[in-house]
Amino acid sequence: MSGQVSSGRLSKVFNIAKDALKMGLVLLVICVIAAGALAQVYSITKVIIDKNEAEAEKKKRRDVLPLAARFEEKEIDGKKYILGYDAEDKQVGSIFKAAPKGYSGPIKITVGVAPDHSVSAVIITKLDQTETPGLGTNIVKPKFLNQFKGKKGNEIKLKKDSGTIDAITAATISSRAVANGVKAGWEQYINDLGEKK
Amino acid sequence: MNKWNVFVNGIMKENPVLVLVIGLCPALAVSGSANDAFGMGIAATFVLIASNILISAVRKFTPDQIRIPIFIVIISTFVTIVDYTMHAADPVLYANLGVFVPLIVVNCIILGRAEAFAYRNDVLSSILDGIGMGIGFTLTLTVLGAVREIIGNGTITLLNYELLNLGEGFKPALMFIMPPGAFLVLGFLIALNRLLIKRKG
Amino acid sequence: MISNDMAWYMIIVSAVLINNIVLIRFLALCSFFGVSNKLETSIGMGMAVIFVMAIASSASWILWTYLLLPFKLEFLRTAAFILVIAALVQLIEMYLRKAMPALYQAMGIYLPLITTNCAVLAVAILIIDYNLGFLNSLIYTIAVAVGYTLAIILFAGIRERINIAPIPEFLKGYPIIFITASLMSMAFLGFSHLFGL
Repeated sequence: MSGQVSSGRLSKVFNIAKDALKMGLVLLVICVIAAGALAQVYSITKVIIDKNEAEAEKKKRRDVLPLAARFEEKEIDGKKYILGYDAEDKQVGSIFKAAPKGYSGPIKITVGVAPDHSVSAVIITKLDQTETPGLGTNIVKPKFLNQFKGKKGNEIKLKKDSGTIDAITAATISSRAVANGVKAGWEQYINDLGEKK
Repeated sequence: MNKWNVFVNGIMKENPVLVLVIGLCPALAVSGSANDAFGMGIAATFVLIASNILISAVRKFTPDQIRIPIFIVIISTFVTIVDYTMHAADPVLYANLGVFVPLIVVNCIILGRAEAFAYRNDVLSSILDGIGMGIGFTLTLTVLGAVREIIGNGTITLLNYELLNLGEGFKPALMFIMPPGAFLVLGFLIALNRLLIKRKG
Repeated sequence: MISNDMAWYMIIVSAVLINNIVLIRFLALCSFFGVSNKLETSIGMGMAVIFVMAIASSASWILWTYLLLPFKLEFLRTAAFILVIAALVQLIEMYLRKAMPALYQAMGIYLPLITTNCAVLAVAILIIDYNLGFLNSLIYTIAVAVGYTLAIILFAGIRERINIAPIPEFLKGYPIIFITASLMSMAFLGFSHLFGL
């Protein structure tokens, strides 16, 4: 009698285990197919994403030093610089990056410096910042960034801070962050690359 | 219900955002610009239709006890595909939508339709349901985005083109592209939809 | 915009007030509007959210750091995290029902809703994107959940009053509730840039 009861219970456990195994297997098969599909999509899109980022970086360098034909990276005390040379291997300028803290996050700035140590151009793209739309995001506009051309040292400050740059209306914090970021980077550049001629 | 009704249902009477009040998080977060709102709508619609198709196709082979995990695996696979595709195709839109792209996987609309419709109906009806709900969602989001953008920024952008620009003289009410504006405009849109349904019915 | 070098109390202020997950960051809205019609249910949901988010974030952080990242499986992040969350919620529900029936009575019914609570998945992703360490992740997660609880309790209190107020017919129900949320959101915007954050 007891033998029958225990074998009944055993077959019940066995059935549950069989069901669980079947379900687990179905789930596993679906997961494997899904993971495989994702790996494929990832490998294809990763190539495109990396290419886009490389293109964007190249474009920034060309826009900031239009006369340069080739670029060379240089590192001084942990600070990265990119030197631009024209077709005759004459240096046409340098590029440095700054990432000051803006209103809602870091702002990535690309700054070009001419051989006479004045700022040649400042570039901030839409993807380089996360400021308030309609206000802080105007720091990407040429109207604001062109003000930095030709400036040096203490000129690279907001007019409110006794400099020469007009802040964007109602976006003082973003504007100040950019100006101060460029100025600090410029001073570091002079320290590292400004020749004592 | 017949096929046409299935389709139209999602746009007005059972509009996911305005009537069922689900799928709110992306509706409010990305509707600061019509462009971003439309992009989110299209992305979510793609996931909705794709997962509706697949879930409906395999519904006979899906053990009932593990259907939720299977839904989740299928939906998250399509979400990840959309995630990487958007990142490659439109990096600016991708950056604007931010964390809300992967969050499409917990969009109540998609999981809800999978459980309520795709799991119990044939593939064709599921496709129509997905399209209808998707259009309702995308339309609502884009209208929300357009209203917020025009009042809060003086522009309307769509598909990366600036469709309308009220110019420098227009001083926008910034609040509308910020969080309070989102809640406000949506509240009024719900009231409006309700009035329209009452007039029609 | 949380970073590892923020002090723990700064993380808490930022997550609870300045960047309140519901009123500023637009997460967890479905449950926020769905459960806040009564004060008791709001408190129950708040407790459940704090509990589940803490465990879910920790599990996701460990999964990412020790499995997905070393094996270059980053593309499985969304799928893996949401499966972990769904599984955790099931396990927690089963465990509570057997081991702590009193607690299950208080918040058990909200548990299935938490799987689709976008805040849970969002925070799991955010702690990875912000590159937070384990302890900071935990602090941030719990602070976010507390911010959610604060918002939903405040909101429930107001909703109970709205029910007895004379509201115009076309605004009754969800419209007036959204307008209320709009005002609350405006109030919380007042915390913006508190302590320079």
